[in-house]
Amino acid sequence: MNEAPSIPLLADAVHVDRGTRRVLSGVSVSAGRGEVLGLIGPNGAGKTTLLRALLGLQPLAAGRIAIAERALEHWPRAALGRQIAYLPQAGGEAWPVRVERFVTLGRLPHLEPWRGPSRRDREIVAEAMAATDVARFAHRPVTALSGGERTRVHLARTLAVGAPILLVDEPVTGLDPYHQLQVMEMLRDQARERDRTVVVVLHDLTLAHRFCDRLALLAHGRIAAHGPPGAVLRPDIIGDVYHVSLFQGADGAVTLPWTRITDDTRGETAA
Amino acid sequence: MRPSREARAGRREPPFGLLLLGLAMAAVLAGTLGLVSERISATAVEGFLSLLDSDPETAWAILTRVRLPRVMLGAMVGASLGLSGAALQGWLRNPLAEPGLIGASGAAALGAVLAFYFGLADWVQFALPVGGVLGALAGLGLLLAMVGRDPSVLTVILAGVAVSAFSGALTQLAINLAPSPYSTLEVITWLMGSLANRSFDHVLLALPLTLVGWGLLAGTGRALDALTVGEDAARSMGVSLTLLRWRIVLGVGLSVGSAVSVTGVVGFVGLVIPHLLRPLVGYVPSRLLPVSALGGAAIVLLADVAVRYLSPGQELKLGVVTALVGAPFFLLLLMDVRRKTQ
Repeated sequence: MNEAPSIPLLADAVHVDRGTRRVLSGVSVSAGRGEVLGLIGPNGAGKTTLLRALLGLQPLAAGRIAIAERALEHWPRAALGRQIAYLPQAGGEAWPVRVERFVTLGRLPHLEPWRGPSRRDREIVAEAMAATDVARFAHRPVTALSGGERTRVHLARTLAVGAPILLVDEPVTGLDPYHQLQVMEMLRDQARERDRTVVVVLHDLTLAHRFCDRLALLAHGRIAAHGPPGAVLRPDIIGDVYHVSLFQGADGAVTLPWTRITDDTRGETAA
Repeated sequence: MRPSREARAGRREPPFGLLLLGLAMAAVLAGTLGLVSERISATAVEGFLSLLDSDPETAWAILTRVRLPRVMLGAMVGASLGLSGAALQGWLRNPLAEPGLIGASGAAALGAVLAFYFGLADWVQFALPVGGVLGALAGLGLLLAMVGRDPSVLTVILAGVAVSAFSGALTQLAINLAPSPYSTLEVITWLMGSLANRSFDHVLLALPLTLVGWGLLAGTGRALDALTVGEDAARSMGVSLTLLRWRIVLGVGLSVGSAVSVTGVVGFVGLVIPHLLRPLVGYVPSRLLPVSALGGAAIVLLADVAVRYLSPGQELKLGVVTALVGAPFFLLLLMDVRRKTQ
């Protein structure tokens, strides 16, 4: 095995068009090993489009994407499937398969043709189910679960791929506070302890502040700001992009969207 | 959360190997029944005994030239329909997809009728299954063009209705313009779907294309499984949806098209069989493929034995019987889907 490359994920001046509309223009981001990169931005800013572009699911109008320092278009699909694991936003489970089987589907990129999962595959699946706290309903049909439980099952499927790069789109949406923290801690552990690269789309700025090493703020298909959370989650930047004021603790550790900035409140929202 | 039927179904799942074995045995048993059954006599036993009564040479001829091709065709058509239904449902993630309902069978019938009508089938016998396959592929192509990137239950069924209506109208036009009442009757009788009066020629005609179709569909299991987690997630795991689409369309077109061209339209098998067997394989699409193929073969063979006994006078057509049983089943299924999506 070669030495692992130093830049697992790189997007350079990426442009994406949907129809005649430009949805990403000149987006450049990179994520390193052992790092959690948070993608934040208002609805429709292009966060999901960027993730899909990084996966090769979205054709580029211009720009370049490199995975493990190799151009995306040079990756064979199967190998790429082992390199990047993806959690799409809304789960699309088609059949009421049992949770354990559903999570095992994450091992598909690793299976030999016509062969079932090995003992090692099953261990990885069990580990993924434990990490997402879904093992206790391993034998229930996935369609019988609540929305938050389903999200965790999808996350377990994503973890089961065992890929060095994780792209997760809104993994805490619909989760209760306990499981929000648990999922974010788990993602951070994946980066810290497994040396994986995690890119996570978040709407919760508090969680973004607390769990991400770096943030990229997207607005209207462009990067509006990027850097450490403290440098991005500033009242002026967030006010401009999200039209909300921020409540921040004295040490800057707590970041809460506080009030909406409207024409009436403009000028009186110094945080 | 109500304790769903699905939750209970999960616990009823038998071992996969046992299920395959049981369905294979059911198909063999149904085939054997078909071999020994005779239409006029009251029971299979009597039919078998009357076969023993006749001189060995006649009995042998009846068995091998009349009943064996009938049984072989029944198994082939049933397996094609079951396999195609399971593959289409897995691909479209839609429990109502079926070769007949989405118009593939109707379009195949049109293709075969045209090959027949223009005398191509007299000229080269192979034109008949080729016509059926081309018809089925054209029907599926039209369906895909209408459905686009949104294979929801409703759009697929509506597009299927359109394809069926269109191919049905053209088939009727061909019948309408048929040169003689005799050929009109011939086409109509054939359209009803039957295994009666078929020879080894028919088997040999349909077999090559059918086998290629089966081969294509058999390789789709893993991609269908991956689709269980959603389209984008499946693609992120290296599944090529373009390749899958081609395999399914060609596989269904080849196997259903060639089946329809020799037996006429046998509807609803591809709907009912995968639906009934799906809970028994834990809703895993790849496992449903072989199971539905065996189940389809068994049910068509059984239905063919049944039509011989249900109607002592005029023989009921197989396609008529499967439609009579299948259509109410489809209605129930539709109500179930509606209830779940509301």
